[in-house]
Amino acid sequence: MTNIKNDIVLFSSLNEIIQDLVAIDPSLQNPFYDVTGMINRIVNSTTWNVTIKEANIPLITDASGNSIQTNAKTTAENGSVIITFNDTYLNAATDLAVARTMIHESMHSYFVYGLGLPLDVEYENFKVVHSLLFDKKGNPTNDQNLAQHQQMAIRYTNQIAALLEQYAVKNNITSPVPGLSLLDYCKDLAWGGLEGTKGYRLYAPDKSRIESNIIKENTNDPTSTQKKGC
Amino acid sequence: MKKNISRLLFGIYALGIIITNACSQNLHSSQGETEDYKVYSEILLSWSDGKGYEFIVNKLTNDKMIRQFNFKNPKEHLIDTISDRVIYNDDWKHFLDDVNPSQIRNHDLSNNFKGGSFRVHLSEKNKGNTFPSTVNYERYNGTIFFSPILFSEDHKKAICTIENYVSPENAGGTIVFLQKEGGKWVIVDHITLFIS
Repeated sequence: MTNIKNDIVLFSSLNEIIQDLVAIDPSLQNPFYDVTGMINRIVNSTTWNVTIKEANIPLITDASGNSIQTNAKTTAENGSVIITFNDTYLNAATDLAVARTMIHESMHSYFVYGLGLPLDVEYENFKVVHSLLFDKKGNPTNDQNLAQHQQMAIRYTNQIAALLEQYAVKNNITSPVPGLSLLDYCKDLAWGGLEGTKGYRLYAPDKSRIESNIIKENTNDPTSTQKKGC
Repeated sequence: MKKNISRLLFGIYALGIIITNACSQNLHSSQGETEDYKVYSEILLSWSDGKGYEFIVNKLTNDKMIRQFNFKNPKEHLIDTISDRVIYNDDWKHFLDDVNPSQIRNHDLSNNFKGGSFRVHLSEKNKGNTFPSTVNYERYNGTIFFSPILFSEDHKKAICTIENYVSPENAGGTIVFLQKEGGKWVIVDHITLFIS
C-alpha cells in the first residue's frame, strides 16, 4: 500500500487512474468474484505489497524481424509484486487504454498472490473460483500466461468493461464510435490482452471491431477517445 | 555344393548390409530426437495442455531471460510460501550454484526440431508470422522463444526458459525445471518470471 502510494505519486496520471478505479466502489466486495474487490484487496491489503512503476520495456524481435511490444508486465521480485508500465505505451495510449491495462495487470497481481499463498485461509476458495489456473492434480498450471488470460476471458470481461465504463463516465469520456454505446465500447476494450484465448474465440462478438478499437486506444488514434494525461 | 554355400553366405552378407543400412537410416531419420528436442518438446506438450497445438517457435534461442535469472538466489523471483520447490533441494542448489550465465550462448534451433513429432513452424526471415498487425487470433497461439538448455553435469536435470508473445498484453515468461525420470524428461517445477 505504502509503495503504491509512493510510486503513484511519482506518476500522477497513474495515481489518478488507480484512485479513480478504487473510488468507484470503495466498499470491499468479494475479491473472489469481483474485479473491483480484487483491486481493493490489492490497494488496501496490509500484507500484499504491489508496486506500480514506469520503465522502458525493450522490444523483442523475432527471427522474421518483427518487433514485439509489451505494454506492461507483472513480476514478483524480492517479496513484492511489481507492475511495470512500458513508458512507450504510456506515451502513446489514451487514459482509457491505460485504465484498462491497470485493471488487467492488477488482476495478474491478484492471481500471483492468490497462487503464491497456499497456506492462506482463502486459498481453497481461490482454487475453486479460479479453477482454470490449476491443473487436474490441483497444482498451478505451468503455462500461467495462458491460464490467467483464459480465466479473465471466461469469467471477467463484463466486469472489466463495467468498471472501465464507470471510470470513463467519471472522467467525461464518451464512446467515440457513433452508434456504439460507451458500455459496448468498453466491452470491446475489455478483451485487450485476451486475444488468442479460447474465451475470446468463443465469446468475443465482433473480433475485427474489437481489435481495431483496442489498437486505436493503444495509439491515441484520432478516432479513439483521445483523452490523454499519461 | 561349394557354389551353393558361397551363394548362401553371400546372401546372408548382403542381407546383413541391407539391415545395417536400414538401421542407420532409422538413426539418421530420428536426428531430431536429440536430448534438446526431448526437453523442448516436453515443455511444448505441457504448454499446449497436452493437446499438441501447432507452434511458431523463434528459430534462434533467446538467452536474455535466463541470463537475468538469479541462480544464486532464485527466491528473489518469488513471493510465495511454497516450501517444496526444487530450488530448496540440495542437488538442485548445487546445480544452480554452478551455473555461469555469462557462458550461455544462443543457437539456431533448426536441427532441434527436424524430424520431431510436433508441428513446429520456425519463425525465420520472410517466412514467419506477421505479428502484430495482421495476426489472425483464430489460429495464432503466439510466438515462442526458448532459451538454450542448461544441463546438470550428470545430465539428469535441465533448466530452460520459455517466453510466449501473443499480443502486447498477453505474454509470459517462465523458467522450467526438468528432471530425467525413467529415461523421460519430466517438468518438476516452474517459476513464472513475468506475465503481461
